[in-house]
Amino acid sequence: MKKQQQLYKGSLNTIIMKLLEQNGKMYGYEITQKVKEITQGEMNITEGALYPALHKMEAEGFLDVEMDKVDGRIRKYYKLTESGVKETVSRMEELENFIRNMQNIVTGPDLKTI
Amino acid sequence: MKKLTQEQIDQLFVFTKKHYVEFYDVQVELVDHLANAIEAAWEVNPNLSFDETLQAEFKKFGIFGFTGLVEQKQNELHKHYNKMLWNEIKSFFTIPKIVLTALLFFLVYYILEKTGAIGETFALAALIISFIVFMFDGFRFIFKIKKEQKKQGKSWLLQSVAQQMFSIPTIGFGGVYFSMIGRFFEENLAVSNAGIYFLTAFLVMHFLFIFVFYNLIKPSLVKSIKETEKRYQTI
Repeated sequence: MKKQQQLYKGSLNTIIMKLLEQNGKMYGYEITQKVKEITQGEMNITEGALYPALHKMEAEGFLDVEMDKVDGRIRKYYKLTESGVKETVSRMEELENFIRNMQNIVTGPDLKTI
Repeated sequence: MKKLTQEQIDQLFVFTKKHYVEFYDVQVELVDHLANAIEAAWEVNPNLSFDETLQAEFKKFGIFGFTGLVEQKQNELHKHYNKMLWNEIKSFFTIPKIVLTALLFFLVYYILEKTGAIGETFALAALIISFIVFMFDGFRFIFKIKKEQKKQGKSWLLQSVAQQMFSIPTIGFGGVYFSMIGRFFEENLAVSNAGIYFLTAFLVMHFLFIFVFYNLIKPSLVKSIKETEKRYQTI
């Protein structure tokens, strides 16, 4: 794993939820590819991290599953539940705060806050 | 685009089974993931062999392969049902249910205090009998699951969690309940005042657990297992 991957690790669940909010329903492999595509290969969600995260959120009731038959095999799609939608909003707020604070630290204090 | 044949998909199921994934719902997800990854690799290089690509994709799951994944999913679900159980029990100690719990506590205490040795005998008998009934119901439930698995030729991860929900309290508290049997053979059965408080608290907690387990946990597990079966059957 690249060093920078550590920085993304804590936001994995939020990233997955945000993707599901935007795309409706997605399956595991699709999520890994979408993240790679959006970040132009900078972020790589490993299989060993993705499925535990999905299963945890499913057990917590944030995600629901749906099955479909594609190319002769069963595909398991994940989608946000009602509580998952609410959780996404609050997690996104948290993440945005985090980004703003990090930005302030990295680039010096924001003039508006002084 | 080169696609996997049905035979290769079947091989992927065998592969997951060989790597200790016994639950069909988990196998399905992993098979689809591996199949997608193999087909994507073929898109870049169609000359890659099936086995070679499969091994390369499997490596991405880390040194524990699929085993860590199965265990983690079981733990998450187990945690979920445990949380559900304890949250419901805890609600009996908050307003408005606490009034009912307190009344129950004082009623049991009053009866035990008034009836002395006879009361304790009945209390212990009620505890042991209900524990044995819980244990046998657990065996029956697990047996039913095993029979269903044999019939369907498939097992679901949730079924293993349901089995744990029965077996963990049975094994964990079995010693406590069976040691109570010894009390029947003691000459002086009447308990002290502190003993009555303890026995009352134990009785209330015991029956609260049983009540919540049969009213919430077991029906919820049965419903979720049925939903899982249905979800895969309708495909």
